[in-house]
Amino acid sequence: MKLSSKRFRFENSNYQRPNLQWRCGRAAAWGKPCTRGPKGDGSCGGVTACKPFFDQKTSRWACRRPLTAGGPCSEGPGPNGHCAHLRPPCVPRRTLRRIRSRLALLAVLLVIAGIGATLEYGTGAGNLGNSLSAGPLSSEHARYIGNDCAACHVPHDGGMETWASAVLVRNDMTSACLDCHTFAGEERNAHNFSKISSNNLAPEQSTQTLCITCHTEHNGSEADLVTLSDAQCSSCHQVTMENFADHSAFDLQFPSWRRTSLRFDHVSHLGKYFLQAGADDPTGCVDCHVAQRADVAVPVRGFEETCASCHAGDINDRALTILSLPEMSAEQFVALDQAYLSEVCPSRGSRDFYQSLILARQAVAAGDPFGDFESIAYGEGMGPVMQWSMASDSADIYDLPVDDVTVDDLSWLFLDLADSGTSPLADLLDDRAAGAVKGSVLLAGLSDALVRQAVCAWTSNAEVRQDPPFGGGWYIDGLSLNYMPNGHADPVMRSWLDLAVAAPLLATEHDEEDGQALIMRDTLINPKRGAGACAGCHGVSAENGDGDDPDALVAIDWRAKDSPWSPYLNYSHGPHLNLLGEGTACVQCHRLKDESGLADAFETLNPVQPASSFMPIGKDQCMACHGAEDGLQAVASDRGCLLCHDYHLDSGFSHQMVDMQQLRE
Amino acid sequence: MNKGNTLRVALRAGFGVVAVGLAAAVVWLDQRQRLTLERAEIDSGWILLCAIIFLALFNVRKKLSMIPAGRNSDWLAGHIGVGTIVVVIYAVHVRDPWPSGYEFVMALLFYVVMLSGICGYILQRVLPRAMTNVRNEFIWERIPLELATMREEAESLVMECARDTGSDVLPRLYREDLEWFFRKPRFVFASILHAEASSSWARQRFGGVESYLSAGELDYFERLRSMSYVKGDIDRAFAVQGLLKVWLLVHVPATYAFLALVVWHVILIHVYLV
Repeated sequence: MKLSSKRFRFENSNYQRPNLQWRCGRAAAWGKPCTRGPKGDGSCGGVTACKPFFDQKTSRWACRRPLTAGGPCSEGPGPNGHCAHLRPPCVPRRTLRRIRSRLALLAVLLVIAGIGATLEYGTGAGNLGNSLSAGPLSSEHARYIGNDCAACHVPHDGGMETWASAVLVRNDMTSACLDCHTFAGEERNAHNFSKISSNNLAPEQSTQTLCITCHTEHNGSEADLVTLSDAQCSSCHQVTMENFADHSAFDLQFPSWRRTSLRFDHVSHLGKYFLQAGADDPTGCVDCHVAQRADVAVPVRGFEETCASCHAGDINDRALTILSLPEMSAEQFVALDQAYLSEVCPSRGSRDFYQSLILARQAVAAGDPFGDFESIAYGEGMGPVMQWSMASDSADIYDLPVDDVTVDDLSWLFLDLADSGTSPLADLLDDRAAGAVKGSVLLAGLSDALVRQAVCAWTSNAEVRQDPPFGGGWYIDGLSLNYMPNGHADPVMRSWLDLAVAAPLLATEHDEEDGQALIMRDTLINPKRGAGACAGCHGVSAENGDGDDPDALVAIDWRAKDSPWSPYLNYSHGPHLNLLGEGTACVQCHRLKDESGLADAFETLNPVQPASSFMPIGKDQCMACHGAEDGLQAVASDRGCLLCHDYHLDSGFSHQMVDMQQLRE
Repeated sequence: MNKGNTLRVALRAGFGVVAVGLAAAVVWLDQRQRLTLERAEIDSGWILLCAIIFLALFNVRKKLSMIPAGRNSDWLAGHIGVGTIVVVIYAVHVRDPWPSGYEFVMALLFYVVMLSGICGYILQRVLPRAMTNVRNEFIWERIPLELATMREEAESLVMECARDTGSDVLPRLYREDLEWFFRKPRFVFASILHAEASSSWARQRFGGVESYLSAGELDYFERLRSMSYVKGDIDRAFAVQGLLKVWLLVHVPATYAFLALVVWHVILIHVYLV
């Protein structure tokens, strides 16, 4: 049966607008809906069949029942305008659209309620029930941060105002990272470079990066925070690599971009000295290098285990002179306060002294600088240490007038030393060293009596001769006060050498002192004649300039240290030792040269000289294993660039970090 | 195809190309920013938000039908196109399909919206065509009236038959089976899958009594049987049109809940991260 389409006409059915909020209750119960339908507020609108109309012309109420309900009724409205056809009201029901909008509102309210209800639920990122939680932290961060969200997210503990401002103001998450993490260079620059200058980088790359760009947190305790893909490296580095074979060739000097910190010539030792028979001579690399601690470098054993058997005697043969008697003229000798010296030096009064004093006074009376007076320090100067200490621009003083500052200072120094012993000298050194090294350390072990003995003798125009004490220490050798080191790593000798290399920097405010400081430094660090022979093995390096420049930061390499080709190179010897079989020789990679050239490299203070006893290492040596079609290549490709390269520059931690676990315990 | 339709198809095709291009651009931009160590998720997040707002505007457009803002069908085409690329942009933006914390709920809602949208699209493509096989056309909102009117007619017919023939075969059939049948739409779920589900039931009932009817009852019988077939059409229309409307009960509320969480997400990102 085909229904007539006329049933849709207005006189046959009501028009049901789809956006109505309510529908007739009778229709909802599958009964016949009334023609008037529900009211807008959801109440029944069909209690009466129509809403009668008051006709002004006839002054009567007229029925307005629609045609769909049968048209105007025969009864008509009552006199008070009420419809004659009353029906019990229905309970209108919501339309589907209305239900949908209510569900949508309910869903939004549920979300808002859920957010509000869980805001205070527990603390910390790991509490997933909290609507602020973005997921659990990595175990590394959770260990130190615990549940303290504000440690990284500053606005977390703030109020509404803080939140409102945080929405509008850019957060600086990197600062929070840098509270704990430290880097050697610019923290916010790519690779912590201070300045991006490599022509190997794409020019359009930004130099500033954010920590959270790579280190994505809240991905669970086992999340890897340090993954970096080769593709990411290649986005800046224009040399793209599919595998290690595509790596550019190593530098012709690799890995020796600077000389070693210790002046040890493998060529001469292995090829000459070790061959000269000796029971203690090393027979292999591991006799000197500690293979068990192999990392970037394979550490060297201590002096006593390696060098002492041959070189211990060299150290105890080079004394340091800090104080000496310079030649004085008759007038200068007479000008010394002999009366005061006689008081503080009770042992004075020898025949030689009085004879010298008489001759000196006669020469002064005759106007002769010397006359028959003969200084016991004939021909001697002050020495580089004393000259620097006295800030004197001249080592010789005998031709200076008695009122000269240097002569005057020296006279007062001798008087003070004769009276007080070491303390005037310590004060003088403290003043000159300006805190770089303490005078008490420099003079450790020096007794007042020894100083008085020396000065009292010298001011009497006499000398004292002592042998160096056994085991090292202070002693008087004629006209000088000396220190003989007590073997390797003697702290006093080391302090003096540290002072010597720092002295040119300390003297920058007084130009005349630069020369004295440089002379003292060069004298003490002389590899052949220097005190303690320290600089014979330990390199002295000017890291920021020429050694002749007083502003150069010169330091002595007291320890054998790693000098990797690049701070971003993280090659480790450890996994490679014995890799090709037990007892695999180091010479597999490290092949000796015929001549090292180390002697020339240590002639200057500039450490950046590619001098080495070994031939450079080429890419082909790595390729022998890592380029092969086996598991080793897979090892290389698995970690990609990061197998051998670090992204950051000397990453470390600040001292502020506290292990939360330990704190709780 | 007239000129207007040609232009419309061309516009929709152009819009589709732009949408696909936009998705490709977002994927490319994201990849590039990740490689160059930039905050890729920020840009993709804002693009995703703009796309989601565009999708949500479709509902607003339907409510504000008085505003001349293009045809509803064009909006639907845009909704479907942008909805498709939103899935791509979302995948690019979040990376992790099941994040934790409140983002898990947000992901869940997104999937609900996405899947309900896909279901809705399929229903809108399939069911209206199926409706063309129905003999009569019914307006969803008027089905109760149609049903009530038909029920009145059926009851009148049965009463008239009883008066004229004195037989109680048809009245008994109506009282025992057809009264239940005409009371409300029946076989709703079966009617979605099988167009004749309701009519088949009626046919079986009528077939069982046909041999007991006298000649005078046959005319009433045929008229009542015809009405039962129309009732079958109503059941089919009710089921299919209802399904076309009911899926929105999932899609729209889930969308609003998702949008509420998106606002929370944007706030948190700017307070805590950006």
